[in-house]
Amino acid sequence: MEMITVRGLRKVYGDGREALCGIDLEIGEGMLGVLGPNGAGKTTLLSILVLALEPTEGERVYAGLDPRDSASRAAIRRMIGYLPQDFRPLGELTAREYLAHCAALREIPLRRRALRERIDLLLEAVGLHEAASRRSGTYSGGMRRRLGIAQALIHSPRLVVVDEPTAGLDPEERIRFRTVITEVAEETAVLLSTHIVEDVEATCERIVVVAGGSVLFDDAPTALMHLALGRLWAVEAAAAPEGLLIVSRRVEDEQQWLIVAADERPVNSSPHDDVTLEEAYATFLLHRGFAPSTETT
Amino acid sequence: MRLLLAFIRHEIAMQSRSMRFRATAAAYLVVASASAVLFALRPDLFWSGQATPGPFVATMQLTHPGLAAIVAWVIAVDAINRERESNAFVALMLNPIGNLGYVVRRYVAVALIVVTLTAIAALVNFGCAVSAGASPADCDSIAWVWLLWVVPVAIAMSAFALGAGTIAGNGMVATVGTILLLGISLGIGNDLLAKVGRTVEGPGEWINTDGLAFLPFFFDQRSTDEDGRPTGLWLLSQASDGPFEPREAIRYLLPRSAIWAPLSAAALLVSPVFLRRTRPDAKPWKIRPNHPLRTYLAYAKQLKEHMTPDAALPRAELAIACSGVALVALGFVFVWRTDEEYRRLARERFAAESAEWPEPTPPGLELRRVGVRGAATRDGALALRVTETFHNAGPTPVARAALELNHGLAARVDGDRTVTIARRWDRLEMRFAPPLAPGEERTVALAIDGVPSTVRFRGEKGKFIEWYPGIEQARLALWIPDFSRSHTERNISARQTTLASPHLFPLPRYAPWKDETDPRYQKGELQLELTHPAELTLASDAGAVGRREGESARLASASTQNLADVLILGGARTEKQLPGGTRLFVVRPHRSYADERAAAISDSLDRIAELWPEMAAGAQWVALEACRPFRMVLRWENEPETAITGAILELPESAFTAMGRRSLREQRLASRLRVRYLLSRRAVTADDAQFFRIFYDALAARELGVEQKAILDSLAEDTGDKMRAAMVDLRRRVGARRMDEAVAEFLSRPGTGSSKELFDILEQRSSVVLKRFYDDYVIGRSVPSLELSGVKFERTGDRWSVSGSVTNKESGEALCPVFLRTEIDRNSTIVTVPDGGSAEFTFRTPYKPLGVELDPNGECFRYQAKTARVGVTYR
Repeated sequence: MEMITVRGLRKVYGDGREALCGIDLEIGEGMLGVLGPNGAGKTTLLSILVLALEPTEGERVYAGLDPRDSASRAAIRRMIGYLPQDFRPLGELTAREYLAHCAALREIPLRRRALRERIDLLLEAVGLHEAASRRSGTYSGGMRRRLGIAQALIHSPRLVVVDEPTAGLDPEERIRFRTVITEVAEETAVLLSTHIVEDVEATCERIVVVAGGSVLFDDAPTALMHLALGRLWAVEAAAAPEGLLIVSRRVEDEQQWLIVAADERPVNSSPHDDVTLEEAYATFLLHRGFAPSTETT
Repeated sequence: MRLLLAFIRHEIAMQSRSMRFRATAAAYLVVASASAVLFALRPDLFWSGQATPGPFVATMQLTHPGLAAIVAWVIAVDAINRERESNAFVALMLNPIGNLGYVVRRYVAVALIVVTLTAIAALVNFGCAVSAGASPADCDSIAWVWLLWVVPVAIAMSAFALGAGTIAGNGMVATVGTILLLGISLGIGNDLLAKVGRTVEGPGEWINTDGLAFLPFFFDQRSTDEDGRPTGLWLLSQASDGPFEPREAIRYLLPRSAIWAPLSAAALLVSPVFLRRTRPDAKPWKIRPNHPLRTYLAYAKQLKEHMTPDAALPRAELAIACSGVALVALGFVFVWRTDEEYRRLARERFAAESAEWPEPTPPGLELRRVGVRGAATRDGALALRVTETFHNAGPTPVARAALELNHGLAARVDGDRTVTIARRWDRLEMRFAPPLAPGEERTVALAIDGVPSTVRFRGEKGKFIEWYPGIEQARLALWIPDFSRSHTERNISARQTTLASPHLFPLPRYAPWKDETDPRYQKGELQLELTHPAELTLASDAGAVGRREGESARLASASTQNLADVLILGGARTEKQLPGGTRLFVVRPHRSYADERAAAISDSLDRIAELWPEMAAGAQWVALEACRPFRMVLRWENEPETAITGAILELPESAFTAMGRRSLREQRLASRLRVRYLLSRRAVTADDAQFFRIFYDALAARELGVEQKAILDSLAEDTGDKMRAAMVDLRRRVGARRMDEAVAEFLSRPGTGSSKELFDILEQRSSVVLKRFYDDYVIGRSVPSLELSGVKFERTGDRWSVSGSVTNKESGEALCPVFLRTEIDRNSTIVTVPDGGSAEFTFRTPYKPLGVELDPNGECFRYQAKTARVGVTYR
């Protein structure tokens, strides 16, 4: 059963900019990755999904509840956990106190002992158990994000919405975070919005590509890779002709190769069959006239 | 409830770890407790040497509301913005609780912390008071001041700050914005209201911002009095220890907070709309790049986007936000109506006072007997049945009488159709139909009820009749008072009950209304029977004290006295029995003073019995301590004199605290009692009342052996001091014995006396011409300043001639003695020095002169400059 159904979602901001132009989306179990270049409308979509923004048109249904009915909004909010892009905890509180405060705010019907156990469990899960009694103001960026995940999960939501969780993290923290989020996804539906394809590739079984305010793709990552097959070519960098759409660069046997996208085979190229999701994503966007903004490790 | 507790726990944890909170709270506690601690550490600073709660209550009332407002603002604004500024506010976005629920719970948590802080400061004051020696049971005023003056301000200011902080989204913007917005809107609003003759005052008086100005004063140790005590603390030493009256305090505070407390609530209730839980989505303005106002428009655009309300707010929250605005409107309506009510009273009073209506009572109509029966209630109301028996002693029928009755009391004729009454403010006209024939006596029964009180109009200065027309004509907001800040002081209260004749029965008025007082002595019989709350001690000037009868008490007395001078005094007091049967009633915290003060009062009364037996004959004194109205915590204005009417002796509270020991030991009490006694012996004209007070005071002081001098140190001395000095000169001129005889004759004469009449008697008895003295120093305010000049010592054969002159550099004719000292004797002569002129003198003596002195005994009334030449030595 779908948890969230979105139909014809459209958002025109006050300045006339149309951020979403009629999005249809169904969000169910598992981990859903939302990919898109900067300005694609991902944050707008997520803000609307977590009730932080009202759409201009369209409807949202959360397990049968309509947020236009103000009485339903509290129940919808209980259903969702949210880790915003620029999350920062209250620096004066320890991780344990902060989670207890979030639990109180979300009216979790747990007794004190059960709540303590849940907090310990979450801190263990996000790898903050040892730092649990330290004030969160002293945490590193990665630790804060992990605490952010813990707060998003404290009230056992049915869906966790995570916005750009790994942006700005060092590689070690990024890998650690992916592990955490993957474990979360085993029990809870997760919507992961990012422009880092690698995050999605490592964790998601379904991806949605948003660009120009529309959903351009909604399927498994392998399907996106299939779309790229036969359209990607490897060209030796030194002999590459002008005007090619470069998707990525590779170095093999001390030789630099350009992976380019083209419907017809460019001169001096060989077919590129070892397609990564990042290359497939870039090819997909380029073919639709969008410049991908990717970040690779 | 569970959620609220979580908010409170969270707030405590957050605040206790915040350096800003710790610094703010510590600063508040230090400033709010410092004066109390100073008092506790230095009990010698108390004038009396004993601690009472008064000074501690006074510092709290003066400074704690303002300090609480500041600390509430800082903590609340900081609390609401801390999360926002640290970007942790996003965690709130997905909470199921609504905006209003969030803001209100946070408010409760913050307000609780602020109120707790104020409670700690109050407890420190309480602890200091107790450790300084005050009885804990007497410190209830500290709790009342905290509850009524401090807590509401703390609660309201927390709400205002939390609301303003939420709306502005930034602490500094909230603070500056609020000050500007309130200041500007109050200014513009008052300019508009002034068009309809109204203004609204700001919240300063409620928060008592003026009180904060006293803080540095308390700690100023530089200026000290003659005993070395800091003068700033002297103000606090004089604080009242009278019972705190919560209802009076509420009546006083309500109009002062009626707009501002709802405004605080409104700020809080509107703020959920601007919690910014959702992303702003406002339609921006398009500003032309070459628009001349583009910079300002860009700011306005930013403000518009910033102030965009949260999206998808439930209707209930919007409705509650609107209800906040409605609360302010209600507060405004309350203030408007209160203002209107006091304006109506002011108009009514002015109409009455300017009409000079009714004509004074014909002199032949006398009030022979008055019966007053009824009850006084806790809330200051009287319900009386009054019978007045009039007698027409004149030669013509009398159809009407003018009477005075306190404006708070309503009067109606009880079943007598031959009498009707008309009323304007405190003036009654009683019409008799048929008129009272010469020699006829008629008794009128009246039902009188209401609350005897005095209205203190906002901004009232000097005489009401001269002040009010200016207010009516004022068109600028600056000159229009906010009449809602007027106050009605009730005459019956636990702190101070004072009921004079017009508070009990309609009193005939014989003098024109334009005169402030009616000097006529109205001798008549008074039967008084007043039931009153048992917690009040009431005494009548017939020497009766209310006796407890079950749940209430009854004051009953019968007397023949000046009906214009009837007085019932009292309040919630504790009794102390003095030797000789005198009963002393003091406010509860002054029990410890009673022994010392009792001894001083007994001494004074013994001295009176010794010096003036006629005063003490058959007198059973009732001494009552008088307190000021509740809001006058400090008593620097209009220090009341010791009052005596009949057998009641009323001592100002300061006689028991600040001034007690000194004033009583200096026999001031006996002197004042003598003055009041002599004044009560014969009525004097209103114009001469001050003269006689000073004249009698000078007489009493001499009899008490108090040193007196006729020389002034400064020309700027007040009229009282000048006249007191002049009386020494007068006594020298006429002689002490003749003066006493003249006074006795003056007092024995009938009717209203005057200073002119007294001087005529003095002239007759002493054969000294006093007209010039009277014109110069009683009617006029002349002060001569004398100096010796041209003194020559000449020897002719075996005789010496000493001559010179006395010059008057100021005004008034002086009769001044000049003394010549020789080797063998001392000669004197009186020189009459004219106004601004000089007079010569010559001594002839066979003995060698040593020197000439001008009035060495200081008997001639004059100003003597330090450089004045008043002695010449022969060399």
